[in-house]
Amino acid sequence: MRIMMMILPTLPLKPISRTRTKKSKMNNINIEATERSPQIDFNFQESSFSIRGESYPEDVSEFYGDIIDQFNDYVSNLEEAEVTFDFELIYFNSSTAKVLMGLFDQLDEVASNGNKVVINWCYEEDDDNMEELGEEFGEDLEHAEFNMLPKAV
Amino acid sequence: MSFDTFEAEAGVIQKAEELLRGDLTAHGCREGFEGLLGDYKKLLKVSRRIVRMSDRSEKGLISARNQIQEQQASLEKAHQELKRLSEHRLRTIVEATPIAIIISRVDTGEIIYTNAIAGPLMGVETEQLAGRKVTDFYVDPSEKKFLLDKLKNDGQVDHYELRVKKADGSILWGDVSQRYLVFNELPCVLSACNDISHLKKMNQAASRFVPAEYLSFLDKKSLVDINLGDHVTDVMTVMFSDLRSFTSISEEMTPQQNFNFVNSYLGRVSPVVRDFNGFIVKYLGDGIMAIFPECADDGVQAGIEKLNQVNIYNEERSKVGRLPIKIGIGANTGHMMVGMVGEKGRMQGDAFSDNVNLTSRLEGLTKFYNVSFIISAATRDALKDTSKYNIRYLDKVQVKGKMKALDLYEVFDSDLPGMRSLKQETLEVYQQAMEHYFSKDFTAAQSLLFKVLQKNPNDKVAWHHLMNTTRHLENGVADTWTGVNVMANK
Repeated sequence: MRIMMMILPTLPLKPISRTRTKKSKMNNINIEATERSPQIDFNFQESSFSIRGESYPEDVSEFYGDIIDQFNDYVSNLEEAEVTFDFELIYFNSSTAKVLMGLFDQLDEVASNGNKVVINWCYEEDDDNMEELGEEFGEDLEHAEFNMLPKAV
Repeated sequence: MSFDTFEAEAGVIQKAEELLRGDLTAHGCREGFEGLLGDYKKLLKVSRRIVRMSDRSEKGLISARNQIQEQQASLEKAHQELKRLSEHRLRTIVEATPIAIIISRVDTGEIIYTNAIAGPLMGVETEQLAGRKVTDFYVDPSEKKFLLDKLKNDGQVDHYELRVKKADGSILWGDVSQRYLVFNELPCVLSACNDISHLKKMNQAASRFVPAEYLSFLDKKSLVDINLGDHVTDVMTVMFSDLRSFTSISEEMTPQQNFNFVNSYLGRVSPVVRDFNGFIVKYLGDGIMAIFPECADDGVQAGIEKLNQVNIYNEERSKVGRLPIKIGIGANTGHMMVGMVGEKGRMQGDAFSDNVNLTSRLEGLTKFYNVSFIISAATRDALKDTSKYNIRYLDKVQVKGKMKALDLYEVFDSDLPGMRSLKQETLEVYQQAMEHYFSKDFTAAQSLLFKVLQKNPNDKVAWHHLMNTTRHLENGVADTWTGVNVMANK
């Protein structure tokens, strides 16, 4: 558990108080896609999240920082919840990959805490690269359910 | 909360530093380093994964680059094929174009490309044109420089009518348009030449009906620009001339001989009109109606030269035993309107005004007075220098249909030398006789006219005045008599 806390951006070396909360009253996040950044759709009420499109923002911290902070804040208090996270990415750069790995670790951590976590990795069926990346991300998950979902082009 | 992509790595370093700063033998230090080792392994795994992903991305990029290069090569090939096809199509079109296309070098004038029709147009095999100089085909080689200058100044030459010398020496008229272009990396001139010889001939034929001078006078560039009602109003000199003895001559000729005779006569006298800056408005059978827009001298000199031509013609006729011909000429100067009359389908040039009608009467009066050339006082007054001409007062006449009497003059420059000399010799006495006549001193007039006729018994004008003088002496004249000869006939 300590290790997981250290590698996650939102889990610095300090204890986190765990208190069960009602479903969050946080505002949902909807960000339209741009040429360099993906569409973000975080529905905290439904515990349904998705990242779609291409991701190579000029400043990864600026784009993902607040979003990931809010997500981590939300999931840190979850108990016995059902979380669905859809990834439907066409291209992402290394910095985004680092963010995604952090998200995967966080989601697996959430699942290990008794929540049901379903991660869907959607990719175009002829996109071998995105398929392999999905497999790579998914292979370390121990608690979350991971689905590879090829999509017909 | 803060977000830092590498916050975990920073946390590991910070923890390691804290442990190193502390007591390495203290309780829990080992567990701390074991935790750090675990964190390091985890980070190493993430790093490896990212490197693998980068490698995969790089591989993908290389593959994409190769794919793009293949596509570029394929596109280039397609482009070349398209270009080849396009050039082939263009060449097919140019070769089939019924207008000669000639590309020549600017510096040397050497022909480096022609289409198929250029050869036949120039009268040589098309293949033999390449390498020849364009100036070989100019009737006037200086026109090449003129056209190049025009190209340089205007950037283009459009519809220049150029005389082209064919290989066999014959000449054709080409409608030539030119543009600069770079061909085979050389500065060249592209010339498009259309054979307009036939059109030129048509225009030349048309100009016989509406002469170029007439077009110019009406300020028209081409026959097609002429419209019914186009006209110019100005002070001009109009001249009528007519064959005197044509009826009696023609009676002895066949219709074909008549045509030949009239054309022979007109062929001699018509160019004279052009020589003196005039133009023939129309032919009136064997008669000619001509306008001299610039000055009265042109009209009078043309009339004199016309009569000189008739004198020469008569000499030739007498050598082959033919009767001489006589013509009468009347000229007048004043305001008149010259333009196009008729209807849309058929029109011709004409001139209108009282002055024109009067001139026709003057021409008719040459018969009455037995003289060759009568001019009005208006024409005489318009001459720059009357002393250059042989002119004498003829009569004061009221022509049929006119209320106003006119002073008329006889121009006798073209009288045969003997008659001209006698008229010159008797001119002063004749003029005095006329002065006495119009001042009703008929006795003095009669005496002076006798003197004139004594010297020149064939002076029919003097005879005419002598007859009138004698009659007035016998019958007397009214107090209102002014000497005006009222003409009852046209």
